[in-house]
Amino acid sequence: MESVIFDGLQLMFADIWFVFIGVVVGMIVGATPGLSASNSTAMLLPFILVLPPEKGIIFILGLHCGSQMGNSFPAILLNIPGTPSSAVTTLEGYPLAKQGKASMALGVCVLASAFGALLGGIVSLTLTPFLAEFALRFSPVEITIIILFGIVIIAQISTGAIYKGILSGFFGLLVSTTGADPMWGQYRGTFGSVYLIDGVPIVPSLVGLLAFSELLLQIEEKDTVKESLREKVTLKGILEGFTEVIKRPAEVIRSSVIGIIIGIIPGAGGSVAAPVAYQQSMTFSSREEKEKFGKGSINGLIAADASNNGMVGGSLVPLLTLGIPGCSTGAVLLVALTYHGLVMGPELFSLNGEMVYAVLWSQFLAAFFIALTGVFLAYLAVRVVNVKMSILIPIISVLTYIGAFAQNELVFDMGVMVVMGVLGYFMKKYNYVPLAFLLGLVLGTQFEANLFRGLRMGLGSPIRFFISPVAIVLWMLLILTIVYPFIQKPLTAFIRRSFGRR
Amino acid sequence: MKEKKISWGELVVPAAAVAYSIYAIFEQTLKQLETKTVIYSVSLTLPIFLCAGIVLVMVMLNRKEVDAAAETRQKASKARNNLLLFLLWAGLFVGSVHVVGYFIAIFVYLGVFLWALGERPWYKAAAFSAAATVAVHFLFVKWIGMPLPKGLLKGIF
Repeated sequence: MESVIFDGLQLMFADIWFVFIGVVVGMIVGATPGLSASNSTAMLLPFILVLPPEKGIIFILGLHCGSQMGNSFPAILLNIPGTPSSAVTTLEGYPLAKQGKASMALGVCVLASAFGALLGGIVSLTLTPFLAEFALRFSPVEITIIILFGIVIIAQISTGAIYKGILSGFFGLLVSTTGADPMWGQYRGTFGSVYLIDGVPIVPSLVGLLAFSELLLQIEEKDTVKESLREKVTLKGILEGFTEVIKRPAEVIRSSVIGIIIGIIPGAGGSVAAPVAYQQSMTFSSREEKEKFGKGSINGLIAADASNNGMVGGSLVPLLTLGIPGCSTGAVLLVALTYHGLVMGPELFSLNGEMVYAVLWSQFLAAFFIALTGVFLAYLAVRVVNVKMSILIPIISVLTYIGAFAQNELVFDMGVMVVMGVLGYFMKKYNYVPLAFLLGLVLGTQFEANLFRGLRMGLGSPIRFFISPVAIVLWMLLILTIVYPFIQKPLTAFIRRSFGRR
Repeated sequence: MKEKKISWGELVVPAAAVAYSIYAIFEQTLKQLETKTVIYSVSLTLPIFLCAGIVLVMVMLNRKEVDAAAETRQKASKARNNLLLFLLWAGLFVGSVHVVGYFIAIFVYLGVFLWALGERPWYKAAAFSAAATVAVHFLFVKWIGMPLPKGLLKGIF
């Protein structure tokens, strides 16, 4: 096993430039309002798939890490979060910028992000192999329940009501039945079209759901005016921000750990990690420091950025061991890995161990590049955040058409992308869960195949799905996930009354 | 002035899900597919129907308060029209790209789109569009080797 770990390290160094380019592209993407890691990687995916798998995946990871840092630039300078996960950064970053401390705020974000990525890397490198070992014991029964659990938990945790999430997830599972069924080879849901014989194409669907839908939302909001701070960013100010982070190690570690834990939970992502870390930072701050929250608190800013990057490392754990993405960008990574014939789970470590460890090691390099290039890009931040949407939207739309075409080289797939884009638009606008739909679509075939294999193992009886210890635990967690939102308030009231009496 | 309205847009996703579910069940039944396959699809549609029903009830009960002022209505209508125009333009692009070829399709698409989004004067939009089209040609067709449809310009490139 040790040789695989070091082979992975060697492989990573061979692809060092892809981490660097990924981080730089990610920072630019994150800094541009309207672009995010998930919709940009979705858009670039067809081109990334042309690369050898380890290069492409390391690039995606670098882009993801870089974007979690870059999204702070517009949050601080424009009071507009670059991505939803940087909404909390606006609460402290923009007030600091209005006080003439934009450079320091940018410096805080750069170093806090780098530390978050570093700690995320340490945890994912140490935890993932152990979980993969445990997952070796999973039969088709457990894999079926895990996929269902992943979809339900994403449905429950994401914004919007749980019933919207469950509808999205099962809709995705149903659409995945298009094409030949995995057990008997019969064709379903093709609408009489030969282009759907292999199922709904995944890459165009992903590009449509994540990237094209975002364009539709941007076009709808096109008249939003941005007010930009024309402050000059200085190196001295950025380094001052570095000093502030170094003076607060407890804040950095706590926020990174919160981000890592939330990253491990499928579906939670940065939009959950940052507010939770921010709220915890407020709780643990001194009275003096608490008064600064909302008016330019360095602690709050560190919490938002360290947790965002810690989340990236955490999200790799369920993705690589169980095949359940922690966030939308994780879903893109899943598609990329699946495209190259790599099966998620314990087999990934035994069959492609070098590549997996190369991906895990690359987080350390990403942390280093975030700190190094973040300083230079922070300098250029004012220019990057003011790119006109009237130029960006048409260019991105062309990239989505080409991206949709790239997988199967069919114009039909461009049409699929547009249809999925419209569906994704309505899902995002009305708080449905595109990630649950996407997960259902990507994992649906695997879910169906393992379900029928499990039934065959039980000679047609579903009892086998309820008797293994792992299955029982997973069912209990699944039921708890669905039921908890409804019983939370009465349960809390009951506990308060019980302890109140004593 | 505010008035309460049903949020019809919220029903689009459940309507699509229910419609697809009905299509899937009918198609598999009519084609006399394996019983287990049909049962599997039916079991996927049950939560869809249940959740769609809940969405319908919630939408009917929780009507959204909207600003009925003429200016707000005009803005919303303008945004909706922009969206529909973009979708029409996207549809035209997808429908025509294999006929006219990627070079002409992307140039016209980008040029008109940039002009519609406010890039003035017109020759600035055209120049930018031409530059972007050439960039696409060299990056995707020449470098990556992607066989984008050539259409009318087949044989020239």
